[in-house]
Amino acid sequence: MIRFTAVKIGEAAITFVLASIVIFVGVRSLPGDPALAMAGEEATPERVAQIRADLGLDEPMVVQYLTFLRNVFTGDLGESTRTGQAVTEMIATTLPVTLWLSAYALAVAVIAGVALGMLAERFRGRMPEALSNVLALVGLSVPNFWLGLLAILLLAVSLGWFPASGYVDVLSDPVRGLYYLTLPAVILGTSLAAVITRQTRASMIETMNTDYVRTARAKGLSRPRILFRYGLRNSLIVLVTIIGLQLGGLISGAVVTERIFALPGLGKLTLDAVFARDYPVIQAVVLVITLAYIVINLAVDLLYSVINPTIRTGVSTP
Amino acid sequence: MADPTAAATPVLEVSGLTVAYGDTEVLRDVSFTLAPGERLGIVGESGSGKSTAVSAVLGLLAGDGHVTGGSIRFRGEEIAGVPEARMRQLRGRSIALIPQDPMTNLNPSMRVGDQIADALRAYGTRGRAAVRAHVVRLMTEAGIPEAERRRRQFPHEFSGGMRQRVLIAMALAGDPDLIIADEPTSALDVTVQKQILDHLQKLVDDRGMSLLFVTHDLGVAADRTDQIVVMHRGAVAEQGGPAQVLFDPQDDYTRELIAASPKLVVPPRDGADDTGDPVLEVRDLTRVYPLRGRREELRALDGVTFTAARGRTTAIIGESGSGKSTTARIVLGLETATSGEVVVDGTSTTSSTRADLARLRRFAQPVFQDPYSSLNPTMSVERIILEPLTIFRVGTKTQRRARVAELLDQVALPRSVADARPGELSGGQRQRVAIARAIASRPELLVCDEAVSALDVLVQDQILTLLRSLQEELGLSCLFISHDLAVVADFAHDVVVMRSGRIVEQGPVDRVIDHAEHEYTQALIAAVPGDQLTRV
Repeated sequence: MIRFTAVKIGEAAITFVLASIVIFVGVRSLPGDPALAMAGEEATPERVAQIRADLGLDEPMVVQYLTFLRNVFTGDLGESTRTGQAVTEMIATTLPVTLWLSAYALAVAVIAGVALGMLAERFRGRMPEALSNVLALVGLSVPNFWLGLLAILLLAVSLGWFPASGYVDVLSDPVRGLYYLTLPAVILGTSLAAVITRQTRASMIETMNTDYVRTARAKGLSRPRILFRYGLRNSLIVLVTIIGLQLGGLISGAVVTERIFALPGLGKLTLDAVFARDYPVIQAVVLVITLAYIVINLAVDLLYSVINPTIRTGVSTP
Repeated sequence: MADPTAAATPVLEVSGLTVAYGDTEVLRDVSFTLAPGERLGIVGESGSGKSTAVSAVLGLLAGDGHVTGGSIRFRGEEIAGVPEARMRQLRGRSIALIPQDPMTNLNPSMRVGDQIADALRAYGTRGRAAVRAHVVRLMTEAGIPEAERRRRQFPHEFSGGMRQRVLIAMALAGDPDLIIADEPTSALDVTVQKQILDHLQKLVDDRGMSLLFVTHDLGVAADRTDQIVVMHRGAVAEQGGPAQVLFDPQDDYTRELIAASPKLVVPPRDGADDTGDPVLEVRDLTRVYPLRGRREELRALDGVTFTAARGRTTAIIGESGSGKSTTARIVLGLETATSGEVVVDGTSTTSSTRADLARLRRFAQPVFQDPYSSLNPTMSVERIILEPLTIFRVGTKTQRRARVAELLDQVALPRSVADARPGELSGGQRQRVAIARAIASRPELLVCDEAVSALDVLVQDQILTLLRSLQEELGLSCLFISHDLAVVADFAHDVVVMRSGRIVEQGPVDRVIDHAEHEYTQALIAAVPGDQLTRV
């Protein structure tokens, strides 16, 4: 298990370095010279060369990349060309919002999805299954922003149950913080919940038809024991893989959701930076999101090996 | 062996049982009685309803299956159609199941000890230490060494035989009155099968339990039970003591079954004499696989040397892991050898060019074990058989189509199946299609890898008859890979016995079977069930 973990972490590190190269080269190949942009239109060629030297742009690409990498690892992501604020600081204030939102949405999606999926399997060919199928279809096909607008209109404006916008730091006031995040999290988690519902239903139908479930029934085990320990436990193997693949969608969905509910998260920061052509911020945000993807994948791989013992121990012994 | 008449109440009394899936009746008027301490064998081929009968007794009919008539009495209590809660009390505690396939009947994500403990807790054992001690005791009794350590392992760390022992330990956990063993060893090697059946029999005898033994193998049933029920198409064809059923069968189907069951006797046979002209020479073949994450490697084949004579059937026999299928795959050019040489029809294929390989493919054709997965389900039978003809550019389009019709005749299939897809055919029909495809390009060597192992005995007998007549008609040579010594005795001319990648013995089939020299061959022969069957 330790060996397996070490290998997976090594793979993640290599992925991160490769991704950082792609991001670095990507930003460098955008049209326009940052030095020229900074110096202004009236600047002398000497002044531009001076700025270029200050930024290290006259160094070879490889040296520039290594400097960039060193800065990344020391937490120096440069300064915003728009506000002059340190990018690290900007990310430090916005990232938690997105993380809380995504985690909350994930929790909502998993709980709702697994429950609906299991319900559908339990009552095959009856009302609950039909209901679950319809909900899953709606969740998959109605776009996030539309659902968000409807929810604001109905639940926030008309009924006044939830705030339409705003953010309270979850750590300093957990109750109000989660209350403010509830509507966005439910909206963000909807499509993932739909995917999980379908997948849970399909996997549960499959596992509940396996020989070992029949054998468990022949042992005289109770229904809940069979459902969770034999059925759900083995369905999780597929489910975790699917959830891991879909988590990326959650992050991109967060950008839209934050916009609708005016949450001061990474999504809002990204949009603002793109509109202002704030390259250091864009570069940093892309880097952070990439890192998030890599960490999620690492977590899924490790979790997968916990759930599926055949991966952990490898070769069978007679 | 208890005397059935001495017992007052039978353990199990099934009378007039009728079961349907939806509107389709699959079991009709099935009756049998099992006295305390008695062993009853239910014998039948796939689809005969034997497993449905077992599921009905356990109240575990799949999908929309339901009992439509008759009764099932357990110790005098009617259990057909009782509420699920009552059935759950009986399952495991009073009626336990040893299921068929040890590979699929254990929860893959749960330690084996926990799976046995699960049952114990359901039957009321409390306390961690007590449960653990009981698990270890049950595993030890079922014949699992180092139970204390192995209870913490997962199913995939167990061999098939050891998994079956776990399932037996599970069935014993509730100290039931009746054990239902549903083909408990059909997925295992014969030597393992014998050990497990011997062990199971001892456990059941010691505890005075009754045993309902379901099997497709008449030989096993005759050796192991006091009473046999032969089932055919959902009804009881015949029942009686093993001696009566075997030596004085009343029903036509039983007679057919007995005739078709392979027996470990070498019949006199015709076929080409060994002219010393080999169609296939395998010289010092070695295949090594690296094992992932380990220093040592797996020697799947180690210095395998034998020849197959032209026009004759050479069988390779061995248990799982013996290297017999690896040998077949290398001969077919589907896998490469680490070292050694394969000479087919005088040409070495191990160092071959593409052209050599193409010639080999035309010369040697395979028939695989599982007719359900070795035919492309989206292609029609005609396209499947046409494919090799197209690849080898045999004749014109019309000639090829004519050839397909001819091939269907040869394997005794109606020409109308040409438009069918494999899914619409039975197992035996599919295997005929696989044979037609194999002989389409007029090969000289047929490599049959467990080609009849997945088939019911009657169908198996028909396919073997077909292969025999094709061999005579076309002068085919056959490399016949099998784990079944009785089939080999019946069908092959020469035999090569393999174990753990090496050849332990080889020679003409009558010599090897009647006068085995190697102790492994002798053990294999001793393990073949059906002692009584041989005497029929």
